[in-house]
Amino acid sequence: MLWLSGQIHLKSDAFAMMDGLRFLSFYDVHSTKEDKMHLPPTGLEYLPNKLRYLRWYGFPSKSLPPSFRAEHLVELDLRGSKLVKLWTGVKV
Amino acid sequence: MLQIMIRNMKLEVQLSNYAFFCWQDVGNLRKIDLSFSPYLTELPDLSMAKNLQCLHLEQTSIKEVPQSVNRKLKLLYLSGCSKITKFPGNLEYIEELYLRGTAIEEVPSSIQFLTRLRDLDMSGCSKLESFPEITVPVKSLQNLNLTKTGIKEIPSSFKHMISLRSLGLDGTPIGELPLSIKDMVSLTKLTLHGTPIKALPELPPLLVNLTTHDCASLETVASIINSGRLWHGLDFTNCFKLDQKQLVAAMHLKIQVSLLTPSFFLLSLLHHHIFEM
Repeated sequence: MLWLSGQIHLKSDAFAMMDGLRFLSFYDVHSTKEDKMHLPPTGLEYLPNKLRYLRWYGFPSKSLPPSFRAEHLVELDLRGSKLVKLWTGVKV
Repeated sequence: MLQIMIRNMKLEVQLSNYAFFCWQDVGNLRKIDLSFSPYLTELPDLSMAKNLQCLHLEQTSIKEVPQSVNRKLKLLYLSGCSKITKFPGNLEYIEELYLRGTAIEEVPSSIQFLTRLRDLDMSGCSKLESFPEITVPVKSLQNLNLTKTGIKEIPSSFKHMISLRSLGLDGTPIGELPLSIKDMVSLTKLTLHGTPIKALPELPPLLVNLTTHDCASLETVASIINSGRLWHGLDFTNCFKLDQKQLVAAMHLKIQVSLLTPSFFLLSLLHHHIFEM
């Protein structure tokens, strides 16, 4: 558990080397009017496929990464997100 | 031009296939919460989420819940989804349905066969103007909120909701309650404030919480004098047409009869309210 203050800028491949990650929770980052978590305009490219629990209040991407397989996911909590579509296909 | 259109159609098919592929193995998902995501307009096919029990979509821009959603879903929250126009169907295991502030126009009569439905919140559904007749005893429903809907009339068959504890009718255009309301054996809370109701009929036996303020057309409430259980007192603020003489006379009689019973205190409260007005 880590209490972060101020603005956080993530790269789109921020979780690329975390294949074993099972529990990810960004809680209370959307409680103020100003967003605290930022991603590049391309959004998030990668999320580990072993995730069981994903809580990310104010999720700043327009969709989940197309490569993300939710086969182990039990709970998905993205309230207050910028999602337009939960899942989109890759651009052909 | 025709060629371009066909190409686009092919592209759409490919994309939807791909999205479906991503959702193939979502059998472990129990809960999805995408509430307060204002740009969210659609959901993927949910047919593979066979264990989904709880779906939060409050304050999103979705137009409908996919037909593919698990029919064993227990909790569905759609409050504030102003683009939803249809009552979600095929959810025979549903326990809680929160549809506050949606554009739903009709509640299907099949609702009485949702044998696990405990809470139904349709408050603020201003396009909803009627509620279906209930023809079988409804044992599961405990809380029904129809506050600020366009409902003009409560069917006499509401008495079949034998487990209903709380009924919210405040802010509706209801001018009359059915006499059968006294037969709602479990009802403890009834909100009527801000309605054009003219008279209060005999009330249910277990009712302890009744709101009546801002009922500008309310003329007679004599029937409630016999109800000694209204623990929260009564508030007739802005009930300008109320026949106070009838109420005070009935109350004095009651005080003489029940001077030494606990309800004397309650009636004193009532007295206080009236003379304050």
